Amino acid sequence: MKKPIYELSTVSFRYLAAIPALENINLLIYPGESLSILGSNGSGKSTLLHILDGLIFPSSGVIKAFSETLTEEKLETDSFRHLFRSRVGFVFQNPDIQLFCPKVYDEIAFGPLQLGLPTGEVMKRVDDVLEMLGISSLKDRTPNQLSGGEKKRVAIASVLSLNPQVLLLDEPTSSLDLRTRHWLIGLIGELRKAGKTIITTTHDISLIERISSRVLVLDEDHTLAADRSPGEIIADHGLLHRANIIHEHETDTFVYPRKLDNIAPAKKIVNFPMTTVNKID
Amino acid sequence: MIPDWLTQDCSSVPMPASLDRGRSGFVEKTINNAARFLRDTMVSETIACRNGLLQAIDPRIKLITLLVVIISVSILRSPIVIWGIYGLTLLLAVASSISLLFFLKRVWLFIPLFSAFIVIPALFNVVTPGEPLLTVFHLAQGYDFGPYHIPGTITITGQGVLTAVTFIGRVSTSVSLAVLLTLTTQWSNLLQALRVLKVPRIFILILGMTYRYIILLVHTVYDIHVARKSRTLHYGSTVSEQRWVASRMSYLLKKTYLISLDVHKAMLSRGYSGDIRTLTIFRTRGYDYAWCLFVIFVCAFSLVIDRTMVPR
Repeated sequence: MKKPIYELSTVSFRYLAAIPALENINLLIYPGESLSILGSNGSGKSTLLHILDGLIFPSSGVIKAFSETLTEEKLETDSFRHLFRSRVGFVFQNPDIQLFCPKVYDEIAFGPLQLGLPTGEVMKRVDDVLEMLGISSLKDRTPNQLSGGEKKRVAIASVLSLNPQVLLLDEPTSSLDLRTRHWLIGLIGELRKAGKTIITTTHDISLIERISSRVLVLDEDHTLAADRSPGEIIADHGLLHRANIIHEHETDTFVYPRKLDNIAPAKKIVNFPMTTVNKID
Repeated sequence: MIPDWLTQDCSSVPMPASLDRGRSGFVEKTINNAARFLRDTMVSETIACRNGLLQAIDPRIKLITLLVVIISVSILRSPIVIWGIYGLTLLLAVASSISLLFFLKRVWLFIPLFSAFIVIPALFNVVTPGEPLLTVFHLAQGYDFGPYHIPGTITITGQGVLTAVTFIGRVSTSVSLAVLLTLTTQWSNLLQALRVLKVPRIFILILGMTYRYIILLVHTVYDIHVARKSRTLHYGSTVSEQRWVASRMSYLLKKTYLISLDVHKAMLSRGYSGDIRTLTIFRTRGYDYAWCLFVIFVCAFSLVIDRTMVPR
């Protein structure tokens, strides 16, 4: 039996110590899982991802990552921070937040450089990821010269260059045109095949069966309403209606597009050599 | 349920006579300037990506050599030599695929602003005594204020004109060199090049992020303005316009603060721990060494000619 990557025990989070965002979440996430977190606006999906990335910490309850309790103090120790940051990558919903370097090339190199990888290895990773995502022509551009879809690709590239084992994607398909959305779904499929653990937040129910094998539903009261397979979640209209994911008029007519037609596959996934720090036991 | 008024034809609604027909004035101008800033930024980046003489030089070499030329110009005394170097900057602009008209506008829009006010007093015999070229006006008598003497006849002097021409030559040549540097180098490369001057990495990173997010916020300002403009039938009174501008300024300040928090999170997420590491990939080639030799030759030759023309 594999050890879980994440263990959340009665985790709650309140903004400004008053506004509830998550209530009493119990959760185990295993290596190689593809997990979608489904919920309406304000249900706490993004907050949960921020907690999983060690950017904010539970108001109560305990979160363990890689068998270690994840706390602010723990992440201040060099060894654990290095281990954790090299294993977990977070693609933010708004790419403008994530693209803070002057050029695309610098952006993709930022993560590996902070991990102290040798320059040659950093440059190889950057070149490989640029090629894999088909954005080599953008490498000398500034973020201000990119379209929305290009920004999303660069944001994903900037995280993939870390070769994380766990990929956290916050509303990855929001504001994307149809072609980029299909490209992204194809890429997530390739990353799943490569054995990455992928945790995605979305309120787009048409996405979940394409990208995940397990779905969590967050209720509007910020509790975990369900933890099942995508097929079971899609079939449970009552649950989806209660969690404000579909409208009452949609429950009778909702048809899920099960065929993955015309999805442009991502180019071959580059497997960077696993360093001792980001190899999972 | 759609209310009745929503189904009516809006063209039948007359314009109320009481509406204040104020003008946008200040707000419109500010937003237009923001749009111009964005356009200029895009133009600068486009020029920096062209194939040209200065674009091909390693940014570090370019920074250092142009700095050396600026220092040389500041110690030259002959206006002929200084203006000769100014002529060279025009040739460099052309060789770097920069439109001469665009380049001249960039440089000469700033020069009157910064140098004219300084140099105008130097033309007159009150500041620079010498041979009178043109009498401006006569006073009843001369005046003395402590060590300062104001003569009875105020004239423009030959020495004053020479001082002014030399000063304007120095300023225009230095500004031209700085404009050439910024136009022919991508901003990101220019920041990286600052490392040769031992500017700390964190400072360079902050400068880069500032530039990046200023453009993003200017875009936001422009979007806010356009969104409002699309729903504006009549501009309000000056007071209401001022209130609107103040409220948008406060919104932008809050947004800036929130962006800074999120960016910090994004940095932490990718391993930033307070000790920044960056990648600098510049390669020095034979072309760069040739450029260095050219600059050394120009500076040395100018100094020799200058000292010959204006001996101490």
